[in-house]
Amino acid sequence: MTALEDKLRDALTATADLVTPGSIRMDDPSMTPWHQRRRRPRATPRSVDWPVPQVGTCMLAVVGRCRCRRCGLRVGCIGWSSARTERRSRSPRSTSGGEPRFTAFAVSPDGSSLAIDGSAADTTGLTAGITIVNINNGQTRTFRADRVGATATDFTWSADGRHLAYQLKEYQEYSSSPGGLRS
Amino acid sequence: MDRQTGDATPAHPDPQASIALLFTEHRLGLVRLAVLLVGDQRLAEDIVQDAFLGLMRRWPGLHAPERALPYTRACVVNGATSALRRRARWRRRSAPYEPPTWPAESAALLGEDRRAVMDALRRLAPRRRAVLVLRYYLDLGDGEIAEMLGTTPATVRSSATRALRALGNLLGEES
Repeated sequence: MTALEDKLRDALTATADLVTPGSIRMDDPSMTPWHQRRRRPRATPRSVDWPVPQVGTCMLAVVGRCRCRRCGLRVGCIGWSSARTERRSRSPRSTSGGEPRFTAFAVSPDGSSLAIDGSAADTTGLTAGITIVNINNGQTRTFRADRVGATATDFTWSADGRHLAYQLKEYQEYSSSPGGLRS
Repeated sequence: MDRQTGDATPAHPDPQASIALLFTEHRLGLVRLAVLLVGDQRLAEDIVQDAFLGLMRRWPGLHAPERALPYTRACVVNGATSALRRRARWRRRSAPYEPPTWPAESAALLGEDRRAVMDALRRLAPRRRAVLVLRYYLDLGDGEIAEMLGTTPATVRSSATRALRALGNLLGEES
């Protein structure tokens, strides 16, 4: 074993000596201003564009507390804008503890259920979600996506009211992918 | 050769100055250690840079600033292990790609035998590789290696024996 140890020690030393001080491209981190120090990339961008309902176009009071500043409803509303949505650059931080903002909804064919956008925003970003509201008794079921950075839109119920089609839009690149949901 | 066997880093009242001193004195040796562990100098520089940044962040909570060098060295070993794991995971998921350990001129300088040893070392598991590098390059004792890797001296001894045996098998030698 000694010969092998000697060989290993010799190889390690010779290999390490190939790294010369001049070949290293490093800065003293203590001498670098804090804002120039290399950091790990953030998981989510600090500021992203995501759709915000047009103020003053709320249509239907369903659940939750209204986030609209102008409609005056106290019971809550669905923020809905058919064609006019403005995109503001704002941080995906929670404004009221992760309370969902509604940007889309669809009534089931038999009129008993309502699918609404149940996306929730927190400090990590916007998580897509769909909330199914039973209009008769007010019970809700929320399905939440397992990743941050997307929102569900364009709800369409199937004719028998058992399935719901939607699009999952990633709000960073605005690329969309079809999805499906069994209510 | 810049081996860093001593742990005596002068304690300085100013953390910024202490880290700067540590960086000046031991940067090269730490990069060499990382290079021996990951086989890629650019990645090694990143690992050492991360280790120093971590040291800066944790300096106020460091119980014994004179132990900053062993702490940084342990950060380098852990960072190298994580990098090797990431590389292995990436290799499993995608097309195999192993960065060349050395440029052609370095390989020529190193010689055939040494290259064979280093190639065999690179095929060992990260933990075994770390044990061999710490023992035969830095000449650390089993106790120091055990403290750095968070294990016991007996485990270090057995790991070193097994790693040497595996290395001998890879090199086709009688162990």
